[in-house]
Amino acid sequence: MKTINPLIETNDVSYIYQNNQHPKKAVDKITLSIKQGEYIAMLGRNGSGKSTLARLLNALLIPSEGEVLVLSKSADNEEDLWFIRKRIGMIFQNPDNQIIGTTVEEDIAFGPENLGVKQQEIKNRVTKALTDVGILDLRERAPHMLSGGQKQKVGIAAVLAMHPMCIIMDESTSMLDPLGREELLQVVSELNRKDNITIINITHHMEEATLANRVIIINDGKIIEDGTPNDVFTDVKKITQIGLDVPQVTLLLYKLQQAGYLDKVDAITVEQAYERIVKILE
Amino acid sequence: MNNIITLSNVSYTYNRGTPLEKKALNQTSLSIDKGEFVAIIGHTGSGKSTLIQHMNGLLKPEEGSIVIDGQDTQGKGLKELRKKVGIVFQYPEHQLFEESVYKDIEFGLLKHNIPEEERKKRILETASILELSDELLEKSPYELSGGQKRRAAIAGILVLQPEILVLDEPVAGLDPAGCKELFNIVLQLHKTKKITVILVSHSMEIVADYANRIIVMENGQIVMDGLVNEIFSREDELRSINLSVPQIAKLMQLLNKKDSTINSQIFTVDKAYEEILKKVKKIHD
Repeated sequence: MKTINPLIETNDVSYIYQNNQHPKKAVDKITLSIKQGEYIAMLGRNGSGKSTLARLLNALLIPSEGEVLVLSKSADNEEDLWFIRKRIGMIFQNPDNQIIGTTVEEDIAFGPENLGVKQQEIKNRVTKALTDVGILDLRERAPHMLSGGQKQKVGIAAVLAMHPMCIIMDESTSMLDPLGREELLQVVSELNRKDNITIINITHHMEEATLANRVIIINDGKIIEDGTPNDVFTDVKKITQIGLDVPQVTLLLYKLQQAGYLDKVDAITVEQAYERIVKILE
Repeated sequence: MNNIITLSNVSYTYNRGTPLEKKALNQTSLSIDKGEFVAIIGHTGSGKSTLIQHMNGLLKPEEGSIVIDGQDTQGKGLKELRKKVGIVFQYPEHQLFEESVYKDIEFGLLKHNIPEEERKKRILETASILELSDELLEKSPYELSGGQKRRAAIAGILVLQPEILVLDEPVAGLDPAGCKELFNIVLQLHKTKKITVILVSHSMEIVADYANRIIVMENGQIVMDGLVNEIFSREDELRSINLSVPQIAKLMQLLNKKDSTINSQIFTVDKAYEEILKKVKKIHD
């Protein structure tokens, strides 16, 4: 029987920052398997190790212990680094750290140019990527003249133009307004559904995380929850104990449960919560 | 009167005379009283940042006028004005540069020629409000965690004892616990020191939890201005300019459609809990 290899696999992977007298273990023996086409939200407090883990997944960091495999190729082999980085694209928190072109168009073309993509194909990719994130009208603008939200969209288009198998977003929506966020998440969902691109969204926004199929919570460098959004967020006590939030409606149901009016907390969306509350009001 | 900020017909245009000309503020008038906690919402490019940069004279109106606590921003005395109005920009930690947190917080005080003893007193007081320990004060800003850096940067503003505190997306990138810590500090200052707070935020949940009044901007103009419950009960209008309401507001409006005795003008988890409990108890009695 043919088994499908996972896209990304980590085996007991650890990462230790050595920069001063106090080495810090940011990622502590994480074992994780991610399949092609998954849509994952990764949550955790500042300093929990989630960004470090993300950087291990696309070989920006090389493990201190354990290993990371992308399509069975190890980040430990220098000759495979580009294989990995080409397939796992990443968008950072601050768009200013990733914009290099003097025009938006040039910025998007930079990645495919480096991959040796032909001129006409580059043009097509740039147009498609800009259309997908809804900023085709900005193509000739200078990136530094754009607003924060617009810059972030440029960053996302630049990754899209590389046709990655997986896109990691490291808090990439934190500067966007509600519409910008919604649009971006729509683009990402679309890429996930239509093109089967794996999405890993690192975020502090719990409502954003409910859009994923799988939620992973990192605390002190370890995975402490891994499951569907419904399973993870309805464990209100555990989530709030480590300093994270659950969606507003989930917290409301939790309070009603604590007061004895509900037997369980099992809603993360407005519609689900509405149904539960209507029942107890009957 | 209690009025501390007055904008009269303010207009401002970026890149005038170029193809990129953009009217960021268009005949905007606004009045804010001392001690208010005002949230400014609007999508990217609606003019929020341009508006707040006018509040301490970083930008000056091309038309109209701005008066802060009796002082016109076109006139002299900008240094005094900037002491009075502290603006915390997005990602303020990018502006940390000194060799220690202490020195970084001290920088503004030196610029204002505050004597050493007074400087020390104020720095320690501000540090304690922002929960920056003595040990942290001696560290390089670059050794701090994200939340600590943010608080250190905000300390540099608060140490000047502003009467008006303007916060532009102050919790972007902070985790939920860090976010609550920071807002509790701001709320404390607002209550005990009667600081006027102006908060620019994309998070409707945060706005619902902390502000009293909401100003909605669109295309360089103020299109709505009112108390939090007034503004959030106009969901359709907010949707039409690509803004949303908190999750709880949507839930309460749905419940209100089903049972009109349920109050739909509720925007926080605690209030929603009380309202539902009231209903449930009535049914059970």
